[in-house]
Amino acid sequence: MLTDSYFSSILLPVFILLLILLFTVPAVPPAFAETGSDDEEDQRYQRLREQMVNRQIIARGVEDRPTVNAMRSVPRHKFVQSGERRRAYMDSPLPIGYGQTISQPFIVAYMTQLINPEPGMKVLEIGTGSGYQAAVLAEITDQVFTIEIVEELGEWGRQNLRNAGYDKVQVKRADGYYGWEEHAPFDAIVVTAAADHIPPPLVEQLRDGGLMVIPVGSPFRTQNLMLVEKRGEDIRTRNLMPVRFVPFTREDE
Amino acid sequence: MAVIAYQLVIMQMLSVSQWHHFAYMVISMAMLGFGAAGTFLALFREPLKRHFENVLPVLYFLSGISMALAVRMVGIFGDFDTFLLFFDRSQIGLMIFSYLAWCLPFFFAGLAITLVFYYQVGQIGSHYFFNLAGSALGALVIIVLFWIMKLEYIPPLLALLPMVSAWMVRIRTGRFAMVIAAGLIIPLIGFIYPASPQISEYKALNSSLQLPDARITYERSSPYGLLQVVSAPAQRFAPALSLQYRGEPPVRDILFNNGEYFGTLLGRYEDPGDNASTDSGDHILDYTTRGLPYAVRAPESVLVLRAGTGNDVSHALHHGISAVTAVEPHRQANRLLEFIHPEWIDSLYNQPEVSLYGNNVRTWMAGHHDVRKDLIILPVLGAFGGTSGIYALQEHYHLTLEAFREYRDRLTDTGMIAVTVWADYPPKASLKLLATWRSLLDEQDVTDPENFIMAVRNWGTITFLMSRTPFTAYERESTRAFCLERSFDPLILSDIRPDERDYYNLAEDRSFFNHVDSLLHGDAEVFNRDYIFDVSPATDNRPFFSHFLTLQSIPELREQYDDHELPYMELGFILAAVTLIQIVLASVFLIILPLFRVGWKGTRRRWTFLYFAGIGIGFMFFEMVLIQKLVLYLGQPVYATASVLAALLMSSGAGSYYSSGLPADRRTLIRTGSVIILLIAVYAALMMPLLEMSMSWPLLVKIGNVLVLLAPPAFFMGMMFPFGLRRLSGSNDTQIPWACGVDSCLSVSATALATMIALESGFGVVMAIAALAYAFTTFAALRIGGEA
Repeated sequence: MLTDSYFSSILLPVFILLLILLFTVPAVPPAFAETGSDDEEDQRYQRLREQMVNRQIIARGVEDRPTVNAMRSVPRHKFVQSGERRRAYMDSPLPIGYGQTISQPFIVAYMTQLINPEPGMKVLEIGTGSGYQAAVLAEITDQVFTIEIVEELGEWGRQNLRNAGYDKVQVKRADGYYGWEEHAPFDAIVVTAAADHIPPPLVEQLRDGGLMVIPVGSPFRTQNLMLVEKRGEDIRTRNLMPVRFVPFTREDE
Repeated sequence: MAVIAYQLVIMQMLSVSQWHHFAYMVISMAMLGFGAAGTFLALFREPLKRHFENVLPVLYFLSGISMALAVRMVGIFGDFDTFLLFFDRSQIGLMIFSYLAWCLPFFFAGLAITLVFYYQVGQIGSHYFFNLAGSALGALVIIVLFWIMKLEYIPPLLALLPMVSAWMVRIRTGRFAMVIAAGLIIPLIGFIYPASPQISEYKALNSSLQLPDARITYERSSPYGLLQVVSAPAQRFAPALSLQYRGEPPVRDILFNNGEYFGTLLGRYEDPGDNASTDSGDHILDYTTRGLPYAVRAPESVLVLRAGTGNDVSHALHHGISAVTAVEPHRQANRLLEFIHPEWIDSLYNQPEVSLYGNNVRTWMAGHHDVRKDLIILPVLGAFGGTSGIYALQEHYHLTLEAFREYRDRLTDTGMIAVTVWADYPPKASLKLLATWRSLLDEQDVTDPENFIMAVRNWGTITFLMSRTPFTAYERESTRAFCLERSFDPLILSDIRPDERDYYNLAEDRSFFNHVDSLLHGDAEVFNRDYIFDVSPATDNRPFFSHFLTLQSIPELREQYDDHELPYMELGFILAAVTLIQIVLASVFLIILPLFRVGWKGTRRRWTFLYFAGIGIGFMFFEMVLIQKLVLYLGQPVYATASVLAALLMSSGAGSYYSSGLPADRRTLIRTGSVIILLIAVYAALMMPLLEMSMSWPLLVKIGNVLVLLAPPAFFMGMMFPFGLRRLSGSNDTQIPWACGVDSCLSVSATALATMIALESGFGVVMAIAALAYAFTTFAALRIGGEA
């Protein structure tokens, strides 16, 4: 314990320096600035998106072609608050108000890949939020249904989807707990706003062999994902860790 | 009086709007305000002296105005939110601005008080007495105000006190009287449009309020915090529910304390039984891992610790338990649910089978040595999705090794302790609990812990059971049957097969199972040393159950997580480090740097520095440890803070006053210093055992005990500062402002530093440093100042 304390007292200043560094390292890519014409701006966003896909998504192992293409196509900056646009393609979640966040791009891609998306699949999203996840799904299939319980967020998400040209996505402002029975069963359900329980109606509305993916984690952290697989009466969950898999115990030296 | 009361009200307001970890920051704000005032006085001594009679009422007036305004000022540029601090850099500015805005009333009040002391030296005795008596009274009066008033009305009320002082010492001109009268408008506006604390977006209360048609149906403030009930048609109670549940989870109101989840108002839950696949007659909690103890044995008596709104009481009654004892320290919540609105929980706490106690868990244990229970249930640890380590600085005396030792002693021969933990990744809380239980069983010379512990897990929670006697083969089979029905998986059973651990709930990272096995079968100490997080048992010396991050692990974690994410591993700890930097910088900028203008002349400056640095660190380290330790004794942080402040202020003031009759020679200084060192050592070793003897006494008597017990060390500590100043008084007079500056600067910094050291090394080390600091002071007494 005494050695630990000594060690800590040496490390404390180092740690403090690290924190200072953390605050002084530029958070916004210096290549980007919020000036220029619309075309120039679109091109810059396009470049940032390409970088995002290469560095944050493909480099981390998401290789499903429809997913990667969708991530390349959806203008993420149109799904964040105006004050956060310059950070839209950063490798982190962003606040969208109401204590909610838009997931980091990698998590959106990883969740999308997990449900093996294909054209013609019927997908339900619980928690429209900014509409970004629904837009990514809509790049792959025409049958995307999304439900948002917070009225203001639902309206904002609907507007974002319309403004970005995703008119086919069906948005409903309702309690996601009950799912969307008229359109059930679904091939996949993506729950982006998780509660502390998995609503039984959602399990019911999942077709046999269907998948449900749910992010689990606190704000501003890379979430773990839970995959629910329904096989008849047998329902199993899988806890997936999108971050690099590491042993948390130190090897004996 | 107003200053100390104001300090405590800010502490409460920050606990409501943010989290409790700003408590030490508030103490530092007050110290900084006073320290900066001392420096200001040193710089502008002459003009202040010339205009003393004009300046004094103005300072009182400004102090009152700033008390009423600071609450509003902090929101001018936007609301500070702890969660956004490491994401949005403008939050750093907001935090510093808030910190300085809160300091203003302390600065003005500090300057006024110091001015009076400085220029009315002849009446110093009575001034000092009234100042300290008022301060102590303020600490006690505010507790009463917390009971009778809403928080937001208290700052404008307190603002009136310095304004009354301004009126009393006003310059006899009509104009100033008018200014004071006009100034009253500001507190008045505070009464008409009170500035309520803005609750962080990331607190549980706000998640509930976002649900459609959600509304706050009840609100009441007390020293225990701000209680609020939220009602919403889409608010369901089904924590980590089994996927085999086919009914509809009940819609219930939720009770929040300071914006954080306190409990769901479940009441007596009756399964609607409207679905064929739901066993009619099961409680909703039987479809969570919390149903395990009732699936394994049939307890007859149950003790529910930190019972909250009584969900586990409801569960126990549902299983026909004839003697349910509930212990919940939040007396205001108990009163609400037992007497004011018992219908909210179907009069659970008024059932003949239920006994409710409004005690801190350890206090209750101390008063019930002879009680034996079949089942002891602790509150659920953690939260769905994790807490981002926001509670790292919170003392959890009910989860220490000593606490579990007491729980085990209260079990019948077939008794069990049940703890449910929300799954976290990387795994921390579950491993720390297991490490604690392993230590406990090692103490009992149990060589086969897997026979005494069992656990089951589902997709969200793990429930652990520890039995006094080994689990039988029949009980293990009952557990397996429970898991099969609910799609849960056994995690710990003495005859567990590797393939049954994740049949229904697959784990991608199976190393968790290895960790569990290492803690059960291997060398637990080696595991604790090698694991990247600190999962060694929490103890009364280091009661931070939710603190897992160590300074050593940060470089390794940085390799795995990016810099944006790292702070959210344990926000409380990182925040403590960041506020430490902020506090040190603020105190250097506002207290020390301005002193360079007057220069530091005189001989033996190094000794002066050592002497006063020792006092600053020693006194504050002692105070911070006392506050944190006495949370165990008094139950509530606000009671602990108020009592410690009152005790230290009164007694150190008395010591300071008494010292004026003694010679400030080296012999007296060394004797006094030696007594202090001795007392710190004695208190470090004996204070808590001594207090534990009166643990079960009524709260008011315990507060009295604290006031008496802390008197001796505080009395002697109060003598060292004036002794030092008197030693310097014969020498060059720039020594005195520097002495005060060094003392203030280190006192301010020590508040945050003590917290960091306590987290890393425990209270014992902080106390040892306090004693060491006074040793340096005593040593420096040999050389400080001129010859006596």
